[in-house]
Amino acid sequence: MTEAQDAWDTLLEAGFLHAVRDAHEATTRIVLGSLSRSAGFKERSFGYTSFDVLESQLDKAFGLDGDSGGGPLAGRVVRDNLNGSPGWRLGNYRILLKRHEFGAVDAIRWDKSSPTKQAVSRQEFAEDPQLALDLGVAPAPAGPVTLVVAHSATDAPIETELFIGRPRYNADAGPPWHWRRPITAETLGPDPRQVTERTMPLWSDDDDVVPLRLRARADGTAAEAAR
Amino acid sequence: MNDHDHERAARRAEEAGLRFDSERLTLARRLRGLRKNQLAEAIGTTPAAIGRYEAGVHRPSPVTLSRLAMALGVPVEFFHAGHGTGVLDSAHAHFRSLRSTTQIERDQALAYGRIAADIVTALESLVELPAVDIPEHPVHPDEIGGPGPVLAARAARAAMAASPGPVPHVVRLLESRGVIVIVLPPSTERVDAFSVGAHPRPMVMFNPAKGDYWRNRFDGAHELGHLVMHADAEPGSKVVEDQANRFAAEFLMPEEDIADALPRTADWSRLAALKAEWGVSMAALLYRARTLRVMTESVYRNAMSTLSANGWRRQEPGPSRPLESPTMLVKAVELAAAAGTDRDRLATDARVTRADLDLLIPPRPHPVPA
Repeated sequence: MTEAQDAWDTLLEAGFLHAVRDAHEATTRIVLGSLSRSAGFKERSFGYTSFDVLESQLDKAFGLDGDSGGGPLAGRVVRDNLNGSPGWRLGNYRILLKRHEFGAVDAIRWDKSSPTKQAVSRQEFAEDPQLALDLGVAPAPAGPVTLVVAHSATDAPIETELFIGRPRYNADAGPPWHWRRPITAETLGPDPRQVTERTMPLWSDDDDVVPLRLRARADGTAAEAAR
Repeated sequence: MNDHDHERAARRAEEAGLRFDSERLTLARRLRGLRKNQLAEAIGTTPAAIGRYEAGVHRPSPVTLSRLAMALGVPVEFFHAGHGTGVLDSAHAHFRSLRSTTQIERDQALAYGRIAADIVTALESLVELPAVDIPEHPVHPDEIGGPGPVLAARAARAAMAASPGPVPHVVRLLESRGVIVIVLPPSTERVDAFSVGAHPRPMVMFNPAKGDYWRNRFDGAHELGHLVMHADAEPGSKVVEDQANRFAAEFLMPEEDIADALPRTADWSRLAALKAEWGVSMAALLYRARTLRVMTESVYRNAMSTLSANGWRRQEPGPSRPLESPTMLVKAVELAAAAGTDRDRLATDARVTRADLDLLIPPRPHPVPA
């Protein structure tokens, strides 16, 4: 099985990809509901804000924010940042985020990205033909494989783009991905996450009640009326 | 005023006091775009007192009622009970960009909608208006970039528009389906076009200060989108507004009719030709090219920046055309007059002032014979 297929299957079956999609849609709604171009916000504001909100929404979706009560992925996904870049880990896969210009997911230049993203895009990729030379060296045991979720959204029209893939260092101006797949309703299919029933809060009435009494009626029949 | 007039005014005020309906006071205040404190100041009382009158906790005295009527420019009979079904609620109206208008402005626009509904009710006892016939195609208010709005627009076109190609007259199409179309008075100029799926009839209200021929047509199709898709959706969210824009784009510029004609780049002369053919703005055509992926996001963004930089977002270059205007109610009023109910009588029946009636349904200089 290829890495792409294995990563996709692993993350899909756990509900991780559905959680990412939901978090991204929630982020889009929140950001567009809060910022508007007519008020003077520009592309950069949308970018920074989306970055922060998506991080929070992902923590929420994975039950890592301490007040969303966990949910189906709680305990399976942990935070796994890389040099301060927000990351999440499930099994052998670590996922980082990258916002790209809408419609230009294949125009990302990792060589012009942050040092962290440069390093990630330089990870050895087992299926890279350049690594297929038999030098008689046993491959080193692999650490986590770091993948990137590339996300983008526009405000007018409102549209979103979401991909997951293995970045490829492209100082050669070649493709920025060893592989990438779109995360859409069609590619995701049914949501495997169990929806848990929320328990109802239980009321207690053992605190002091507010004192009340019936008014005395003119004919003094309050007691009868109260029964 | 002589003694006799004074006496009569006092009697009217007294009767109005007995028949006082607190909601009619709220309606009149909103109609005039006043806050409680402004009205209180105008009649020499406190905002809390106005609040108590409007909540129905206290009944104003005849003197206070006369002052209220004077300050609000309505006859005291305006406050009589037994009319209409309460104040239109902004929770059911599809307003755009809530942050750019105040609650007072929205309430005023809705108050006009409310008295328009009262006028229509009075008219309908005299004149038969077309039956309400708007297709329903609900779309989930959280659906981002999904197929819902396009499918809804296709269903609406199949049900409403007779032939493919450009829609000749959006307002007439709405009216022929029983929708009440009103042009708001100038005092509400900051409010965009909006719609209310009110019963018995849906209403679309336009703002003449806000648009031109092309933009108004898009607004009309946008509001139709709300009526078709969002009977149940909480109004005002960016996603719901975006859905209505997508609906309008497909309704006015169906993909299968226009996709091949749209330019991949900001070809302004091509856009001007399409604008004349389809009766939509260049901005709407650019939006269409972008949503159909004929144009990339960056080409579209740059084109929109060019529009802004040239001041074309407010007014595009090229010839202007008179707005599509609503005529159904104007004609209904003329028919009612021909049958013996003139404008004064109609205003009295609807319990609105004659001035407000004329604002909402302006008389034509020369009535066209039916």
